[in-house]
Amino acid sequence: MEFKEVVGTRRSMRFFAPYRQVEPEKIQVILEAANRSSRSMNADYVKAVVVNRDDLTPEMRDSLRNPTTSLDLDLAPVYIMWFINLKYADGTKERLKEQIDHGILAASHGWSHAYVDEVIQKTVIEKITGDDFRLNWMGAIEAGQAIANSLLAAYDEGLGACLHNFTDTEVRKMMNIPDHWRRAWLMLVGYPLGDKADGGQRPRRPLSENFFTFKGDQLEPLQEDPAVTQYLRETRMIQEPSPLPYRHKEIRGFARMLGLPE
Amino acid sequence: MTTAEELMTDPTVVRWLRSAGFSTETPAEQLAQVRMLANFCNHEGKMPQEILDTCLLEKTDDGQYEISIKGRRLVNAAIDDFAATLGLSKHYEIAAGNSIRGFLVHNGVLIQGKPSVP
Repeated sequence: MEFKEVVGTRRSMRFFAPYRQVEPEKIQVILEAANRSSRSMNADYVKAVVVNRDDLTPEMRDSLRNPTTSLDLDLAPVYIMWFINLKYADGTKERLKEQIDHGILAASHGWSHAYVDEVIQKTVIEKITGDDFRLNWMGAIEAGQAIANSLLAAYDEGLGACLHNFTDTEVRKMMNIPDHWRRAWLMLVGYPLGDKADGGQRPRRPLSENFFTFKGDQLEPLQEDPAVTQYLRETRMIQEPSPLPYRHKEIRGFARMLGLPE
Repeated sequence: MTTAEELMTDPTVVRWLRSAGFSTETPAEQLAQVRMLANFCNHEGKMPQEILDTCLLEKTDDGQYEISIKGRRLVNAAIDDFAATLGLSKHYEIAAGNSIRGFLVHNGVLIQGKPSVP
């Protein structure tokens, strides 16, 4: 699938085919996409645990449930538990010097082994690790980038996925999750129960509501070029909007198949 | 004791049927939906509003409720217990319980039942 279509096809999918397993190679693709994400200091901001639903005992699965993440745990065959690694700053000096040696960080931009060896600890690293808000803020943003990459990879592989909050109190103990792994999202992965359109592309506000250019001395809402918008329709970044004409009947059909509330 | 016929004019039931799109179904189809709720109400010795009151904490001045975690858990378990008494096959037992959960959902109680998975 082309990039624009992948972006346009991604949804928060909630109806998975519960009987269809996900091939392990597709999970590897998803994880490698996370591994290739943008990240400051070339640090590892995320940790993930992949779990096959059917490998969990009923008690372990029940321990993950909360009011808004319950049914989905019974439908999705694969769970990826994403955590923010709050020790992401460990090893920063070595990684930065590696980047200097590789010509990624260059003297043209002010980088040197001397700066990394003698200055960066107090100037940068301790400013992050010594401030709880900054440590978590940066960790969340950078972990989010990795998770976003993995979501796109799932759709590129013909799968569906959705991020959920989850209860990790029990599972942390059972899996010996270290204290510095902070719960981020539970990514549920599986094949769509219906089609990949999943009811249509989700509603979004026009670009002008959230994106701006700076002209003169003020912000101006970004004006869309209709020709570009048309190009994005043709390349499927912009797709048929929800609800597709059959969506409500489709959901009723899912509910009757699975015995769910209508 | 109550009957499905009596519940058809209960405001919470009317709200459920309308919100779920059942109100455009035939009267017989609507009654079939409500019958399971009526049976559950009789099993619990409560009217529909009382069952909702178990799940929702008192309405505040701005018209908002809070979900009672404990109450919802109790009702959820009571639904499972009731469904198990019906003598149905597993799929229909799950569907029966989730039909009652549908009544709660359309009256503002976020609750998720388990699916019938082949």
